[in-house]
Amino acid sequence: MYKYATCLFLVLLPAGAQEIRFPESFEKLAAKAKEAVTVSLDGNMLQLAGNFLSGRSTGEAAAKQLAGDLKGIYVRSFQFEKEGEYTEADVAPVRAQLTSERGWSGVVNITEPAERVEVYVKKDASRVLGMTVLVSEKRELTVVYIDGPIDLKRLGELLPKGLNAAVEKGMAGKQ
Amino acid sequence: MDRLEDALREALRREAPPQGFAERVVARNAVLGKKGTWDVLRGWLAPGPAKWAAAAALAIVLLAGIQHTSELRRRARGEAARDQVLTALRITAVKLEQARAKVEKTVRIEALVPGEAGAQLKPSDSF
Repeated sequence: MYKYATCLFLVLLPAGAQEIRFPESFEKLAAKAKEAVTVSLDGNMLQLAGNFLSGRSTGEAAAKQLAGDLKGIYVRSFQFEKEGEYTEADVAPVRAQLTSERGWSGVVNITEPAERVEVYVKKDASRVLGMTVLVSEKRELTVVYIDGPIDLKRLGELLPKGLNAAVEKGMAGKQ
Repeated sequence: MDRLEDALREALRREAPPQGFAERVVARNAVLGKKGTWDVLRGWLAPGPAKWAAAAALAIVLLAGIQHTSELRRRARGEAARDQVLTALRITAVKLEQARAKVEKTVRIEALVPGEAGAQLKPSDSF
């Protein structure tokens, strides 16, 4: 039944639309949060942003090249005053979309008492086509969804050293 | 004859105009000479190089203003999008670093005490 529902969802999904949908409860969380970051940039907005990213500084140059290839970047990050402001039910709808049927595979899933870190990638034979990062802490919830081909080497210029190699190693292990 | 002359003199003698006659004449002339709205409009629309030049200049100024406003809006949207891209990528970087640190820590524990850290990792962990 769930598979049929997923297939129906994929059929109804218009071409070029955001593949991972954030649940409506996120809007309530944003209202409750002490700090909330909401970023929703589709391909057109990324192209526009690319025109305003400087090619001179290393970080912005890498961001410019990355953004040029992407179809979308979507971020929801909430920091709360106290614990228990969000529940597992708020995150579950996002996780439910990250299934192998839809081409997603989990490369990191670490659960600790105070924290859960998950990284999912969508890939074809040689390229990463999308990445979703879910970090649930007691007072913080962050979901990042990057849609589009991600050049991990280029992403590495923005990220702390060593991370890129770790992700690539993880992907190689999957293939 | 004298009577005729007297009658003529009486008929043609100078007589002062009634009180306010001059003002009434001026007022009446102003009313008759005043142009209607259509007359004024017709006057404005009548072809003339100076008028066309003024209209063209006004149109150019208006178009330039519209274009400038639209460029300002596009720039504001672009700069906001640029800031959002950088924010999104920074958050991604921080969270991926967090994931990397967790994986590294888990792998280190696993190397020291085999099976201990494995309990924390799900089957999908492949670092």
